[in-house]
Amino acid sequence: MSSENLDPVLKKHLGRVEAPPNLWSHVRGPVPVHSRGWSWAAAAALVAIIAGGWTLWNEFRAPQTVEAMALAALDRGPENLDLQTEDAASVRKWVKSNSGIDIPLPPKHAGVIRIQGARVNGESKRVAEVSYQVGEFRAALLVTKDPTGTKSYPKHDFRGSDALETARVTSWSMKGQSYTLAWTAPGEFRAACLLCHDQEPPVLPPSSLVN
Amino acid sequence: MVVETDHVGLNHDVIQGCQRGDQESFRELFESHKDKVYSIALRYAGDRAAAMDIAQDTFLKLMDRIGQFRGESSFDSWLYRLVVNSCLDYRRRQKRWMPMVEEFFDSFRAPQASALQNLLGDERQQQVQDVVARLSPEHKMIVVLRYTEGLSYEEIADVLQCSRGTVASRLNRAHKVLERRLSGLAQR
Repeated sequence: MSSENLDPVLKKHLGRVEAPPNLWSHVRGPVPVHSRGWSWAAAAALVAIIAGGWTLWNEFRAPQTVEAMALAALDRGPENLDLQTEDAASVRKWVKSNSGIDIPLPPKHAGVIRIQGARVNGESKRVAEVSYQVGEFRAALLVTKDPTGTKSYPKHDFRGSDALETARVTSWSMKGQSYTLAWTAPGEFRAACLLCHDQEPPVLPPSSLVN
Repeated sequence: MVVETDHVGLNHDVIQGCQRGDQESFRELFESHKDKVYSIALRYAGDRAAAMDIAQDTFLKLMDRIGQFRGESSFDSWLYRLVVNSCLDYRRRQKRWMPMVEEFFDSFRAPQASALQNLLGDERQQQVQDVVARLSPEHKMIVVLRYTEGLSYEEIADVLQCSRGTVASRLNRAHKVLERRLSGLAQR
């Protein structure tokens, strides 16, 4: 089979034709308006689908644990903080007004603690994050409201700790709030407690120790 | 490159008259080229109403741009480009995916010479035109310029502003697709 067989067929059926007599009046007549309505409708539908998908994704995706958020805070560093300041009073005020969470930061820190700033995480679950340096190590304290916690319980109710490859995490509840502390230093790191305390605790409860 | 230059009574004065906005000159130019423009539009679109709109668009473009025609190429070559642009504009408005899908499935069919030859004796013009109309736009335009207007590869390359090799390969590809489709048609 070659185009030699095809040529006669195409020549026969695709030849020139006479233009209809009314072509002149058509040319001189009104120009048809080619609506772009469908294109806009398609674009609008596409945007709606993407927006809907994004909403569903946020609604049904697996909730991130506060521990994972604390480790992410260590990885992220201070660049993406909503508030970048070393002033503890400013951080406490900003966190309170943006999340309703009061973190008992003292107005001044002495020694090794250097606050880097704060941010508020989470969609429906508000999580306040304070990032800071303890000497050469990074640390992040994440605080959430804890509806199950005893508001009157004044002491740290440690829930447990975890040692990961690059960081360690410990969590506790106190006065109706849940606290998660992550740090990059090896082993027990009581100096991180100086963010809220004026001196290091003598010893952490056994359940909070990282072995 | 110069495309066909027999202007069927069209002379330089007519073009100059159009460039001055003279309506009589434009009517004369329309009368001498209307069949050519309408035929290309009809073979490309495969639909009389669409061909009317494409022809209208071409002549409106011609009136609008005739002042830019400097005679560096032949008038026919310049006009062919206007028709091609109007066809492509039409295609953009009527964009279809079906030609590509059909070509994909056609690639699995084997052409048969005898079946194709039967079409020569058949009055199945509309069916053949429908098959051509379903080609992809690039293939279809080359087929139309080749078989409706009888242009050479060089002339088609000049109108479409591509290489002769591109014309040859697209026409070859179009032939293969048409052979398969027309064979299937003749067997029904």
